[in-house]
This record gives sequence, C-alpha cells and structure tokens, in this order.
Amino acid sequence: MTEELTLLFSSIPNVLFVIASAVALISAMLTVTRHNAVHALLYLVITMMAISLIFFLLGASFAAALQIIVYAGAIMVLFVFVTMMLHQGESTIIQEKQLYQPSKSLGAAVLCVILLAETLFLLSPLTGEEPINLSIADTAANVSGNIGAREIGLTLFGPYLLLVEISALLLLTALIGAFHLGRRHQESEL
Amino acid sequence: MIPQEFVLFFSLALFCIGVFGVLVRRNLLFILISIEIMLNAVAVLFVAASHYHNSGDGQIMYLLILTLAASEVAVGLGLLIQMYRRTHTLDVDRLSSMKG
Amino acid sequence: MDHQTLTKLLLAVPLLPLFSATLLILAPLFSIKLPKQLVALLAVGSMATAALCTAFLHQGLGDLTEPVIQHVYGTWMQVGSFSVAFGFHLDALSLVMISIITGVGTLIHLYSVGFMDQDKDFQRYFAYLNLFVAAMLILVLADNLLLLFLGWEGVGLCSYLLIGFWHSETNNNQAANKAFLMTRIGDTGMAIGMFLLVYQFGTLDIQQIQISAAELWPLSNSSAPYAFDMVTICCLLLLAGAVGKSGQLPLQSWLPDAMAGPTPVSALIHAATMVTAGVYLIARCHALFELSPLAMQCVAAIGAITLFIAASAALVQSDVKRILAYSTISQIGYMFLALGAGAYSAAVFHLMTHAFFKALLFLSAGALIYCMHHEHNIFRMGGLRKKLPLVWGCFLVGCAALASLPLMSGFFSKELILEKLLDNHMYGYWVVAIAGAFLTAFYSFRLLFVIFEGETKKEPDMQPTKTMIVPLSVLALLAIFGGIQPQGLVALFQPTAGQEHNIGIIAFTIAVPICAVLFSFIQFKRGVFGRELKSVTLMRVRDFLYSGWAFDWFYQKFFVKPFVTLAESNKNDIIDQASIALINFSRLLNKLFSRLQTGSLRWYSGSLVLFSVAALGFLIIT
Repeated sequence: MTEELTLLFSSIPNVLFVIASAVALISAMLTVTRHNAVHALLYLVITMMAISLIFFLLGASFAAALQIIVYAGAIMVLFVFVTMMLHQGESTIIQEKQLYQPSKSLGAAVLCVILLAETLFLLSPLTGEEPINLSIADTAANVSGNIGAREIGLTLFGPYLLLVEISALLLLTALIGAFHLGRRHQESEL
Repeated sequence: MIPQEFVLFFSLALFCIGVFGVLVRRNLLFILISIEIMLNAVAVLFVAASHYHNSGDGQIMYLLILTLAASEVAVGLGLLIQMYRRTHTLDVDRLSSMKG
Repeated sequence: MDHQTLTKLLLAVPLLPLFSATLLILAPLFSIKLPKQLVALLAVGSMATAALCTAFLHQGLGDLTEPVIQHVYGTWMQVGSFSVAFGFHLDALSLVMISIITGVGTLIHLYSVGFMDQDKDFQRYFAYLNLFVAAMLILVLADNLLLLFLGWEGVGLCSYLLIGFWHSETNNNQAANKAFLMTRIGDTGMAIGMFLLVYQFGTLDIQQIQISAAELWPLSNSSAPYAFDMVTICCLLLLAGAVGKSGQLPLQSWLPDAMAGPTPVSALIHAATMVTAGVYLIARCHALFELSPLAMQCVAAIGAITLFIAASAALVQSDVKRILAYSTISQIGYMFLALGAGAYSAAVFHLMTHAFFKALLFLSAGALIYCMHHEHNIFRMGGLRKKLPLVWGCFLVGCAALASLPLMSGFFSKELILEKLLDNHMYGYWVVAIAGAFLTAFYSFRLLFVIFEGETKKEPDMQPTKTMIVPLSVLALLAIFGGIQPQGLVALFQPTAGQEHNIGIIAFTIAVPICAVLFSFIQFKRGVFGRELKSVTLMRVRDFLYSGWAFDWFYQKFFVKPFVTLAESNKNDIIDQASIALINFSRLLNKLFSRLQTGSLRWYSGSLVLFSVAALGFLIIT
C-alpha cells in the first residue's frame, strides 16, 4: 500500500494526473446528481476540461486539443442550447426534485460499485496477470509515448484514409437525421 | 510514463459513474448527459492505450468516438425535442406504449 | 391327366370366382354398366366352371397312386430364413371341402338370381358372393397357415359385407359389426398361435409343422397327460380362432344376429361354408392337436356344451331363420365334439351332410319368406302344406335329415359320430350328444308342424320361381342320398379300430329321434307351441332360453360397459395431458417473458447492467 502511495506522488506528471482525475471524478459525480440541468451541464464541461488535461499528460496533444474544441466547445454548446429551449426555470427544478431522489438510488449505487470492482479485477495488472504487452523495442526507457499531431496526420492520410470518408458519411447521416427529427410537423400531433 | 493502474482505475470509475447516472435519472436529458460521461471514459482508455503502445491507432479511434458522439448527440437531442413536443414532459417513464 | 393339367385346374378353381368378383367390382368404377343377365351369367358361370374343374380334379386325384397334389405357384414373401409361398395342397379333405363349396355354392348362386331379382344392388351382391367363394377356396386349399389366414380374413370381410348388405337399416350394420368384432377376437388368438408356431419352427407350412411338432413334442404316455405345455398353448390359440369363426362357445352370439343378411347368404356363409372353416382348421392340423390331449378335451368340451346350449335355445325361438341359426351352432358343436374325440372323418362327413341339409333348409326358408311376403315369424304362418307343396316337401326332407331320421344323410353322419364317441369311451359326452339329438329332432319338427300344419293364418302371395325350384330339388336329393361315405376321407384319417357295439345301444340311438318327433307331434296337437305361458318361472326360463342363455346380456354387462366407461373416463388421457402440458408450459413461458417487456427504458437499461454484472461475475468465478 505504501509502495503505491510513493509511486503516486513520485513525479510531477503523476501528481498532476492524480489532481486531474480527482477533479474529473468529483465533477462527474456532481453532474449526475444535480437537479438543475444547467448546473449539471457546467459540471460536465469541467469534467471534459479535466479529461483534456489528462490527455496532455498522456502525451496526446492532438486528442487534448480536439477534446476541448469539439467536445467541450461544440457538443456541450448543443446541449446548452437545447436545455435553453426546454428549461422553464423553477418549475422544472421542482419537477426534477420529484423525479430524482438520491435516497432511492441505493440499489443502482451498489450495482455500479460491483461493476467497478469486477471490471477492475478482470482488467487490472494488480491481479498478478501480466501487464499490457508492450513490444520489446518500446520498453526502452527513452520511449516517451507522446504522439503528436504530425504523426496522427500521417496515419490518417496513410493507412486510415477510408476511415475519414466513413466518418464523413456518418456525420452526413446524422445531419440529415437530426434535421428531419427536429422538424415541426404541419399535421396534428399524434 | 504514468503507471497503467492509475489510468485504468480512473477510466473505469468514470464509466461506472456514467452507468449510475443512466440507471438512476428519469429525465431524458440527464440520461443523455450520463451517456456522454460514459463515452468520455472509453475515450480516455483508448488514448491511454495509444500512449502505452506508442502508436497513433488509439487516437484515431478517439477521433471516431468523437464523430460518433457528435452525431449521436445531434440525433438524440432531436428526439428529445420531439418527445417534449408530444408529451410536454421529459419523464422517460411516460414512454411505455411499447409494453407487452 | 398329367401333373401339369392338374395343377392348372387346381389354380383355376379359386381364380375363376376371384376373376368374376374383380370384374363385377371394377365395372362400376370405370362407369361400365353391365346388364343383369350378364352379371348373373358371369357369377353363376364362374361358379359352375369352378365346380366342373373340381369334378375333373376328383377324377384326376383318383388316378394318382397317392391322392395328394401339392404345388407351389410362387413366393409370397421371404424374410431371412422365413419364407411363405403361394402353395395349394389338395388331398381328400380339401377335395371334399372344395366340392361342397363349389357345388353347393353354384346352387346357391343360381337360387340367388331368382331371390335377388328385384333388388337394386344385384351386381354388388354377386361381386361380394363371388369374392367370398374365392377367399373360402383359398382358405381350404392353402398349404401354409399364412395363406389360410388370408382366406380366413377374406371370408370374415365378405361375411361383414354381406350381413350388412342392406346397409340403410342400422340393425343390419350393427349385426355386421358384431359378427366382425367377435370373429376378430378369435382371429387375434389365432394370429398369436401362428406367431408362436413360427417362433418354434421357423415356418408356417402345415405339413412341415406337423412333422416338426411330432419330433419336438413327442406324445408320451407319461403321468401328466393333461399337461399345459407349449403345444397345448399353440393348439388352444388356434382353437380360439376356430371358435370365433365357427360360432362356438364363447363367441357364438354373433350367428343368430347374422341372419339380418339375405337368406342365400345365410345359406352359403352361415350354414355351409364359413362356419365350417373352424372345423376344417382343426381337421387340417389334427396331427398337431393330437400331441396335446388337453387341447382335444377342450375341443370336445366346447363342442358338447355349445351343442346343448344352442339346441335348448332353438326350442323357443319364433323367427324361422333364428331357429336355423341356433341349429347350425348346435350341429357344428357336434362336429367339434367329433374332432375332440379323434373322429376326424366322422366330423368332416357330418360337415358335408350338414352343408346339404342346412343349405336346403335355409333356401326353403328363403322361398317361404319370399312367398309369404317377407314374414319371418312362424307363429303367423300355419297350414301351408297344401298351399306351398314344394316348400313343404323341401322342409320335410331337410328337417328329417337334421333330426337324423333313418336313411337320411344326416342319420349316417350323426350315427357315425355317436359310434366313435363310444369307441373312445367318452360316455359323458355320448349322453350329452344323445340329449342334443333328442332336442334337435324335437325343435326341427316343431318348426315343420307350426309352419305347415294347423290352420292358415296368412295366405302366401306367390309361388317360388323356377330359379329357386331347381337348386332346392337338387339339394333335396343330396340331403337324402348324400350319406354315401367318401372312401378317400376314411383313408386320410387313420380309422380307429371299430368295436362291436351292443345291438341295444344302436337301436336306442336310432329310436331317440323318432321318439322326439312323436313327442313333438303330441305337443303340437296339444297346442303347446306358441302358447302364452301362465307361470312366472316358466316365462323366465323361456326368456332365458330365447336370449341364447343370456350371453349378450353377460357380454354387455361385463365387457362392453366397463370398456366404454373406461374409455369415457380416459378422455383426457395421459398422452393428451402430456401434449397439453407442453402447450401450457410454452404459454407460461410466454407470460413470464412478456412481463419483461415493460416498455420502460430504465427497466431495459437496468436489466442490461444487471446482466453484464452477472456475466462478469460468472467470468471471474470460473
């Protein structure tokens, strides 16, 4: 136990990682337990920022940038707009208080804790199984694991060229679908 | 390098928080938010994998997750609005006409 | 005649009626209308030709050194080492049988042309009748038990078809069903007996079985003569079949009801041929039966008891055909008794004479019914001696032969049986036979007196037609002169040593029927017959005898009713329950699983998580 604690605080990236993950976890907890939708969304934005920091610590600068630009910047904005359309202020919060009562969520909490324990047990190197199988060349001390934007670009234009097209198709589908689903129909509502 | 166990623990814990949110909330909007948390947790795992394997594949997968999340949110929120227009409430338990 | 011609003639005998039956059955299917004359010509012609072939065979058999013709015409089936062939075996016994069948059969066919002239189902009648004769011929000519069984079942089928010939009346259908089912019970026993024989010997060839049986189960004068061993079981099972077909105890009650069919049918099937099939079977397998003294005793006992029961039942009947039916049962009882005593030639001789006089009696009864506008009750007739002289003459001859009055054919055969009983020291049976003879003479002349003497209660409508008169006359001649004993029969069955009999006993046996006739005449003059009875006990006795010793009531109460109740209570039986349970189970599963479809999103996501937790837990544990 003490061995892990020393490992935890042995280097600055580790400390930063601990702080960032704590922030992310706590704000995620707060997200799912708020009654006010806007509060929940704001906490979600904080979670995403923290995750972005973790990406930076993992050396994935491109991913970190994307996280902030796309996820926190576009997707969360979409959420906020829709909340703006539907949120009617105090009455919605009172309604929400009825819909979610923390005292009633004990069973789900237990279930999630069990799920966490199980997945940890199965996936973790702590159980004595071998750690993630790294190739011999990578286990050298001077491999940093920092993958930057340049490498990602080369990969995208190389082996994963088709993937770009597919994701474009996916976005097109979503665009058309969202447009159709959001339409106000002329005929009477069912 | 950050030890693997930390990242694994973090990702799984975040995922479980998302699952908790999906199970417990009755408001459809909050369910969608919890799904976002779950997606994020998985994204962290992929990026960590690319870090430990020292290849770009994990981040490419992250890119795809991002695309997926975006489209899913767009469509999901469209459905949310439709539901609100029809039933004037976001309580998901009202939508039980597929019973039996 | 050489062997080839003889075998061809032998094959022709059953095939001619079969061919004519096939034509008559198939013609309506191809919408060919045959004129009545052609049908009659075909039916009677095929029978007459078969009779002619029989006559030639008689001639040819006499020329041979050993009077046996055995020929195999083809293989029926072959399974491993078990094979059954289409083979015919002609010896004195089967020659007598086919002579009776074709001869008497031709006369009855000729008679039927006149009798069924007005009936609209003329063609169908002759088709069935010819089919019956073909099946019966196969039965008596077969050289193996399976081919015999084919003929056996064939005659059973035709009997059913002909009893229920006028099928628009429910009574006729019920009578036909009863006949078929009761003979079926016997047939099942016979089939099991055949299975046992195949198991023991691997073959069903009759001659082969008798030879092998003598080797396997030698008759020993051991201390246990009446042992219940395998040969006894086989014989008793074959006896069961014979009992069913010949209408003996306990399967006799179908025969009186079978009189619902047309009278020529009763004459042919239920007097001369089908009911004698049982006698034929036992006579044919006599070597097998001799190996089991217990079975022989059973045969004799059944014969004796049946003969007495039927004779007593015939005393009080009022329907002319029913009297003759009970009389048939009783006379076949005599034949069984003779078989049980080992007197095979006597039994077959009696079979022959019985065929003559019983066919005569039935055909005369048919003529009587025809002339009296379908009246069956003898107490509504009377004094017809001057009005229907020919019918009276035939009845007189027939009843005299039946009563075994001296010098009639029936006299010779019955005396022979009684003699053989004495020879074998079966005194108890002899007493029963004498009592039966007394009763037979009594009721047969009761029949004669009630119909033809006294005052006329109903006038006859018409006189018998020419096609009826010719067969009746021929049969009357045969009934008088048919007492000449065929030599071949005696040679076939080793005759038991004839002993010198006390002249007194012979005189006694002759005197018994004559006394019975006189007694009957006295009772008739006193008006006993048909009189209303005063005392209750006598009425009860009369009813008991009338119902044939209440066998029908007995069977209804102890077999039919319990079976029907069992079947009713088992309506929702186990097998039904099993398949219903399957249905109910899948309905239950449906109900359970449809409860999972709540339509609630949270329930679905919750069940998703729950199940993945469970699956992961399972993964960890194993």
